[in-house]
Amino acid sequence: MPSAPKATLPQRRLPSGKQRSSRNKDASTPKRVVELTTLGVTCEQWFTNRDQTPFEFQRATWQAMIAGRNGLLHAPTGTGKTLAAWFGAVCRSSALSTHHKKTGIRIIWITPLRALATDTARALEEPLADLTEMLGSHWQVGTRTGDTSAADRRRLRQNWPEALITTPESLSILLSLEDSQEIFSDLDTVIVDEWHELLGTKRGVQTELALSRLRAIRPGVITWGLSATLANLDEAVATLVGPTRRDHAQLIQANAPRRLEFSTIIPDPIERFPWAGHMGLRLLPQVVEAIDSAKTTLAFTNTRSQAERWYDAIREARPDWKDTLALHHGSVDRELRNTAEAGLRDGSLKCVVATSSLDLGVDFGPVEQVLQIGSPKGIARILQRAGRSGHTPGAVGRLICIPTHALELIECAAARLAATAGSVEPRRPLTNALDCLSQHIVTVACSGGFREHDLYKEVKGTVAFANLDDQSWQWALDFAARGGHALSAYPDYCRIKERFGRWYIASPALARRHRMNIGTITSNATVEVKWCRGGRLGTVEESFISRLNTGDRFLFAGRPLTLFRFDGLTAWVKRSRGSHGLQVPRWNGGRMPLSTLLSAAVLEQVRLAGESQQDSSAPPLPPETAAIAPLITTQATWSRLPTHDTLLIERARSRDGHHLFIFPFEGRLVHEGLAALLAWRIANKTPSTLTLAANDWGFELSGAKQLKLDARDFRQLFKPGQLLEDLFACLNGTEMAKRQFREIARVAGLIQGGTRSAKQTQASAGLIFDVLSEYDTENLLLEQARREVLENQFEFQRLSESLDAIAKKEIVVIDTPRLSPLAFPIWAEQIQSRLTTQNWRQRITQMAEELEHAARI
Amino acid sequence: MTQKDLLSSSPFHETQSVRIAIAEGGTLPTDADIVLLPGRAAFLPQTSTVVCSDIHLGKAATFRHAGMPIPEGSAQRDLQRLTAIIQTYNARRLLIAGDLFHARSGCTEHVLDEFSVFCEQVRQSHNTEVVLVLGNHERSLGKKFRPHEIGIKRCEKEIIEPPFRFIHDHQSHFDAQPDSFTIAGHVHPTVTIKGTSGDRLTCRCFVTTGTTLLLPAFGSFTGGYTIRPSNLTRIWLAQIDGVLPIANALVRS
Repeated sequence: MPSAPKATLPQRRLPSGKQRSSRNKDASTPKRVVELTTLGVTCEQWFTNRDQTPFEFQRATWQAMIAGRNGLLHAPTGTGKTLAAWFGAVCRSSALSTHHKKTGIRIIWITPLRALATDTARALEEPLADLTEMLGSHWQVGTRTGDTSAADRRRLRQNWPEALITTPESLSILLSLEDSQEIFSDLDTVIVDEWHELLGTKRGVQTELALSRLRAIRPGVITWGLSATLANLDEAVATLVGPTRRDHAQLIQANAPRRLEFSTIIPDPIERFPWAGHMGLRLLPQVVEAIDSAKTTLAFTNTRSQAERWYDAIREARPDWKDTLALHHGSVDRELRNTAEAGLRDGSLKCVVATSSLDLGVDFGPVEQVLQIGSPKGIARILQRAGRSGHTPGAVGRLICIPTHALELIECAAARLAATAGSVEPRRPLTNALDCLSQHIVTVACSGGFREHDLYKEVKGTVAFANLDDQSWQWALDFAARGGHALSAYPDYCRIKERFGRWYIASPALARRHRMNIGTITSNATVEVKWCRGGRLGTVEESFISRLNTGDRFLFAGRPLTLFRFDGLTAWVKRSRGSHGLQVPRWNGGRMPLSTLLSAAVLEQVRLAGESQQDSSAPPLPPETAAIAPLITTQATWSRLPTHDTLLIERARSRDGHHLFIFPFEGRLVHEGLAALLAWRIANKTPSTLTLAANDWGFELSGAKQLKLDARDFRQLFKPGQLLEDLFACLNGTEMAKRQFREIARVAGLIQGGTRSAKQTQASAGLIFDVLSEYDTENLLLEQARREVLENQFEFQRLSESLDAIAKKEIVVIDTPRLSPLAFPIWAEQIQSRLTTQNWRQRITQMAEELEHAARI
Repeated sequence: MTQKDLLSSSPFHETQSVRIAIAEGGTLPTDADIVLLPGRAAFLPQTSTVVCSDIHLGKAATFRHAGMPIPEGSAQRDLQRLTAIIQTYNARRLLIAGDLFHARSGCTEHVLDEFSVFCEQVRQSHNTEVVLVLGNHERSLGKKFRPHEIGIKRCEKEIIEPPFRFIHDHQSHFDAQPDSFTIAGHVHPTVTIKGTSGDRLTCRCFVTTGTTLLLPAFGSFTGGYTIRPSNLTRIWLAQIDGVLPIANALVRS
């Protein structure tokens, strides 16, 4: 059945200007035009009542929305985007419903984080009371996220609110319901909040597919995105509204950017400042001073471990802040996080130490300044975080960078200068994510089925699948139906079935399971941390807790704890006395690479620092770079400085083997790719096992045996020829494709998300990867895992460009007596991968040799 | 500490009453009570018995039943490997220490057929008897599992044949006899070995603690549990193509 009957639509839709009203001879048209102006006035009135005037972009937004256009609103954090879009949507809906009462959802508000849903609901409800009075209708705002209880979900289904706040996952679940056609048949507007957060992720693809479905169910629906700090706006609009609607969509930009101030705390004296490591607490006194000087501070760290460490250190330094200091990160229990957020909102907290868990969301008025502990890693990120401060009228957003080791000083300088200059990184949308497609196919099959041709056309209408070829579509459909080629002989497997030309889900039980799978995100195995006397603290990764013995002490959720008992599912803990010698959990993931834009700026700073050492008449350096100049001099003395037209390679020996350090300055992802490629090409000549490590400045290859290579050999190794073939081959030698496969396997339904009753169907993604590689080699998901490693993990395009660039550079190979200032941080990187062309016996023998060697020293 | 120490010089290992050795190049060492075989199984020369555990047949089918498209193939190859082992050592008996089948929903006709064909084959060619000690996974099979129809002998709890006791889970004490040497499965033991230059390898393994031998999981589509060695522990890496005794110093938890 096609969606809403087309014949009635023009009557529902508003005339959006002269053209349409002249075409539309409906008698009610003139009256509606008057209505439209009244609506605009109503919104103005709301501001006037509060002694405010709306910004020009706010006016433009609601006018475009009332006129029924799609679009994107791009404005800095905290300038009133939410209000603009909300007024527009409410006005549009109230204008459309003057004639008959409607019962379904009218506005969908998609938020990227479920934690934001409650705050958003509060923000939307607040002006609603006044608006409905003026607009003369009663409106309700509801939320439906992964946190919504079963009872609330039932209540929602009986009586849908006019506006529903939801996440991409929950929207997919709603679209998989049998009555989804009815639920969305009255939909007028979809608003995607923080679109820049979703763009470029799998969840963004999921959102694109959901939007395309909503447009098919309800062709008159309009889509609006809200976004901050984004460079590729055109692409963002096209991805949001679909490429065919791009030309008619409107892009509204706020022309008054918020005033932001950036500064950096510079350590003194620089010689004793650590060269590497992510935990450095050396600047603690200055940080405490900075916190003391402001009313409320939000201190951002890059990792959860860092947040724990800093929270503990600050608390120890100032015991008097005990009750006004809070910790906020993704693994801390929801309730504790809520308390911290509430404290920020009402200004009762002095400082909250947080990770990216507080990057997004509704603004906290009292926050006066933001601290960025560690390198900001990206310009968009520093802008986003700075925007979280200074929300009282007339205030300025302030961000202070706190470097944790020497090289981060340069990164801070580069980021600060770039942010002031206003350049931002682009976020590219993902394409051809077959795992998302296969999930979407099953979702649509759950909700009353689909005709193959219709869904194909619908999916092709998104940016993500605009270039989908017939073959891949067939494969995805086949995979959803029969699990792909290798399974065709097994009748016990079937997810969707074809009947009379339509595809349906095979059984209600499978639909239930599919819905459960959409909503859950499997991460690494995590363990819940609970007090012995009751009460939850949050979750840590199993790999950390299983290393501990009963009685060991560790730091978590800002508290020193003693492990009392670990029963495999829960770590029972007691409070521990004193906080010396505590272990800090490590969480995987969450380590953002330095952006391309920023790496280039960093190399520029290195050049400036080198120049000023030789030439005293050079322009003055930024203070951060000036502070690090002695270190740059050391680098220049022990080795050389990397420049735009040389590729620096250092060879060194340490007690754990022979090292090669190579500095292309292309960002961490490209370095990982280059490291794997180079290791593969080396190991192909002589069977060996090489360890790879990379950071944003360069990468390292190390092994037990010396690698005898000179500049000419390196020229050969960096040849672009056969790049793709070699990269594919080396992926099999590393664990990277396997790691990437985890997420793909979950989305495609190969591993179960839910925990209940899934005991007998638990397998690690790695195991499934092995089984598929052996028994279903044509599985396109394996292919996708490799492709995604190439594209997302290595930035294939950039990698191949960087090889071309290296071909033009001079290669300089230098033996260094010890690790140079630039090499040391790479060596200290904890996350490493391996590439091997040896068999297990050779590897074990070698490891035994190494250990024996180490024991002898 | 020398490399020889780390890679364990003597192929023999003696516990209180049992001598454990490894098979190399298909030849059986004389004088051993237990021979660890390449391919994750053990051989007891006195009774001409091949022991293995945790094959988890039908695990892929269980996944498919639950709507997860995992291809078939691993089970068939596992049974082929088992046949080859029986042939090589001309075993009179195959003793499976539990968890032969994965779950009720995976016990499809195809899976059961495949296994009974295997049983028939080894009976005819080598006159090998197949014995199963029930594991925790078999307990949930219900009526679907009728061992006598497939032609195997089954044992509810444990088999005691001094000096050995065969059981699925060594921690369940049925008729614990202090002086018997337990051979058990259930744990799926694995160890991780790390070198100083960053290499790291996770392998399934045989583990003994003096009175118990834990067998590695035989089936390919099975996960593993990382064990933490103590002073009493002795570890052999169990790969498809070989067994290698290693020193505890190599293992990092």
